[in-house]
Amino acid sequence: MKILVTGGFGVGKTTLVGSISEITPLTTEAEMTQAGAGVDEGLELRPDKTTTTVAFDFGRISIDEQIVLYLFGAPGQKRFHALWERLCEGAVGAIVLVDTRDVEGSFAALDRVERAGLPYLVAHNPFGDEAERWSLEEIRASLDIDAGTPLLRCDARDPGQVRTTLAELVAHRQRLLEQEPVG
Amino acid sequence: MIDPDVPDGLFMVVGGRSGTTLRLDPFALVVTERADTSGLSLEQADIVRICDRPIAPAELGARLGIPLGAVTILLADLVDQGYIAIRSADRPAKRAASGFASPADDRRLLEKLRVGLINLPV
Repeated sequence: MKILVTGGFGVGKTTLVGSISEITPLTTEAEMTQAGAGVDEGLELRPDKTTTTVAFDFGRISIDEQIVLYLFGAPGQKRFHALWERLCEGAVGAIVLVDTRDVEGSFAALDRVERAGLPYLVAHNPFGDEAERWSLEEIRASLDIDAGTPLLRCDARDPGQVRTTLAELVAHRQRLLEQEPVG
Repeated sequence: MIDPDVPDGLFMVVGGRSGTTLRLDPFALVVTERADTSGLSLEQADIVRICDRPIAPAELGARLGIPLGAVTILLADLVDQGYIAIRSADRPAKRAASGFASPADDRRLLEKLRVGLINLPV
């Protein structure tokens, strides 16, 4: 199973993955065509100049013999769209990590997840004294987060908080399934 | 191990091909079905050994230092030859027996995942 971790640049995606992963976050490279025209062309390997290399990092949590959870920090740029689609397929959902010092980046990340149609929750990674400066209600209002979308604080460096956030996302997905069975 | 910055090396690894019809989820799990590696290339033999335990193509690529595109091509061959099986999230036909289009819609699995996360030692 897999969970996506997204957010603006430098918001702490890699930190979050690293604080709970049983392996050091790994980086893999996917070759993408610049044009990114067809779905299958997206990951086509072409040893010429029309390809660009993207890197995304990820971690792993083994729950039991049957369940392996992969967490991945997804690159958000538009030209990685094909990769994004593939990463979203079959994902439990996404954690949108927001930084109150970068409202624009947070909006962009929210917009992306909305458009992917993926269940998500919003986690505020409080840098410095941002937790005192912003209440969750204020964050919800200023980022225009839907009332049904869970919003919580999560210090990306704290494994306990990351664990709680992941479990909350799974619970959110479970609630959505109860309301509106998929398929 | 190859240097991903050297296209010629990669070109050799994938036998000069540039693509495959296999549409692979980078976080699907691949697992070895047949462990006999005789006759395989070095990279393919590595994959068959590593996939002894289920692993995602993305992690495989990171461990071997091969970009995902090349990993996909190598895996496509190994699947065709019956060495590797893919347990994918996006293969509804294969999962039809369990009645779920995706493991993320499987309530029992979700509950196991949630409880497993809560009880995760940190």
